[in-house]
Formats: sequence, C-alpha cells, structure tokens
Amino acid sequence: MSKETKPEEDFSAIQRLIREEEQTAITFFQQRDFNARVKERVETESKKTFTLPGWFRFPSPIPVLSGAVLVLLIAVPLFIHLFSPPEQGNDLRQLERIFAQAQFQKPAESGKTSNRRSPEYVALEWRFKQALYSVYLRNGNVSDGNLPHMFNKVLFSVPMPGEEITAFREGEPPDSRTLEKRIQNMIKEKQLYRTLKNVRETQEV
Amino acid sequence: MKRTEEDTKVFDDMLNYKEVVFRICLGFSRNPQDAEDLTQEVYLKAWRKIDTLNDTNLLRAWLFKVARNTCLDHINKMRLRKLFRQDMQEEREPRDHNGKTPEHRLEHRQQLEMLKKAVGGLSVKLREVFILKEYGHLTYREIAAAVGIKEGTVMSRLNRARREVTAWMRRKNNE
Repeated sequence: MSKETKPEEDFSAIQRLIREEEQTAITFFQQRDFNARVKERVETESKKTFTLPGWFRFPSPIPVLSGAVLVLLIAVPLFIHLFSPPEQGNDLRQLERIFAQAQFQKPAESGKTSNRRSPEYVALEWRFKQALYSVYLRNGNVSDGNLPHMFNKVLFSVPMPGEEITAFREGEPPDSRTLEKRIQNMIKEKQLYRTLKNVRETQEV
Repeated sequence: MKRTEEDTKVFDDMLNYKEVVFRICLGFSRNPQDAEDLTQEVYLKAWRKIDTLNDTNLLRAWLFKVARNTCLDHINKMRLRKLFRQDMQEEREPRDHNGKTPEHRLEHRQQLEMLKKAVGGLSVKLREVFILKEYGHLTYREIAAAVGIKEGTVMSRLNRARREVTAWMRRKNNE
C-alpha cells in the first residue's frame, strides 16, 4: 500500500490482510471443541435458571396491573396536588367562615376593659391572616375571576398609600408586615366583612 | 426455561453457522479468544430467545441479527476496558508463524494493528456493515436484514467504509 498503488489495489491488499487474519483465527477456532463447549454452557444455564411461576412471568397481567395500580396510586394524588388550580370556591367559603367567626368574637368582648385579647381571638385572627395572605399570594397576580376581583375590592376599600397600590397592581405583594397590619385594622373595623358582603350583594343583583 | 426437542434441533442447525458467527465476532472484537467467547455469548443468547424465532427458514438471518446485536453490546461494554487490555492482547495473539521470517511477522503484525485501528475508527454504522461483509461474508440482503436497513443503504455504507479504511491505511503507510 503506497502512493503509487490504486485504491482498488489498496483494498485488495486490505482484503488479503483480513483473509490472513481470519485464517489464523479460524485455525484457532477449529481447534476448540466449540459445539461441546457451548452445549455444556447451555445445559448448565438451563439447569441453574430460576424460573418464576407462570402467572408472574412478564408480561403476565398480574405484575403489570399491580405495577400500574401502584404507579397510579402514587402519581395521581401527586399530580392533583401539584397541578390543580387553586380552589377559589373553597378559599372564598373559608374566608367567609372566618369572617363570620371574627365578627362573632369581637375584639371588644375580650379586650375592652383590660385591653387584652383572648387566646382564641388571637388564634382566630392569626388563622384569618394566614388564609387571607395565602389567598392573596395565590390570586394576587390573577386579573380575572371572581375571587381576585372581590379580593382586590376588599383590599382597596381600605385607604392605602399610592405607591403601595401601584406595587399591588403590578403584582408585587406588599410586605407581610404591612399586609398584616392592614388586615388587623380591617378586622377591627369590620370593614373587610362589610365590603365583602357589599361586593357579593352587588354581584348577585 | 423449557425447551422442546424441536428447539434443540433448531439450535443444532444454528451450530452449522458457527464459523460465520465467529468471523463476525472476530471483526468486532479483533481478537480470536474474545471472538470465541463472544460466539458463545451469541449462541447462549440465541438459545434463550429461541422461542422468538417464528420461522425456521429465517434462521440464518435471525442468528446474524443476534450476533450483530451481541457484538454491539459487547463493544459498548468493552469500550473502556479495551484501553487496559491492549498490552494483554499482544501476548494472547495465537502463534501462527507458518515459516515466515521474523521481519515479515513483525510487518504483518503492524499491518494488522493498523487495520484494527482503521476499522475501529469507522463510525458504528459503517463498521457493522464492513464487518458483516468483509469478515462474515454475508450477502447484501443478509446484512440488510441483520442491521434493519435497505440493501441500497448497505451498498453505499460499505462503499464508504471501504474508502475510509483504504484511505486511513494509505495515510498511515505513507507516514
């Protein structure tokens, strides 16, 4: 194989080389008792192979179905949890229930004379804040839909400094301290409940 | 794994093609001992899957397909290990002096090493077609069935593979 030879000649030389290599190897192979060796291995394998019961062998429906059921049991709740949209109706009902309770347990009843609040009221208020804040976080950036609309009205019904309104409209929640303070005032003044009720009545009309 | 007498008979028929299978394995492994081990693997796999052979007329083509797949699996497994075995292979080459002079033997070995590298340097697509043809002596139709491509594609790939191997060998010989 050199510069002077043609490609066909080169390849013939390569083929000769392959034949030579092959011949040596075949001589080696023929000296081995291949059939006996391979049959021995096959026999050994057949003996030692552990076989699963027929009903369990793939693709028997039993393991396939049980596998599928297992996957569904894990995947479906996970999928629902991860991808389900926020349940606005539930949030609204929860909000209303908490409002109703808040109105029932007025701050004045527990703290009028001593200026202290009952632990129940504090706990209720805290639950309310949490609920409202989570509702806000989940719906604050949504421009349509019943709850965000109502919630915006509720929130804007309380006087807010201009820059806060802008921030809220641009989808940035006010910091939690400000929000908590506002909600606290709203509870105190029952303004939140009134506004919610008004909005509802207006919509029903 | 229950096998019938018919399966055993088919398996015995398969053993008639052991040398072709061995040559294919030699093309992929480039070492007679490895090729023998690989041939055994091919036959073991064929035995395990014998119930998937629906038509005994296609036995040859089916066996070559098993051989091709086994060899490609082997190549993937050995890719890293091969690097460390280069030296060992030198010692394991079967001795076949045939009265050649030491110089001739050395040159022959060098040429074989180069050929090994040239074939190893081909892409998998070209290499498998090259090996099945040049080592296994399979027909275009058999190669097409084993690889799962059209006969025309076999021809064009083979042509490209031959040109690449020739060019590589030429370049190395002229260096």
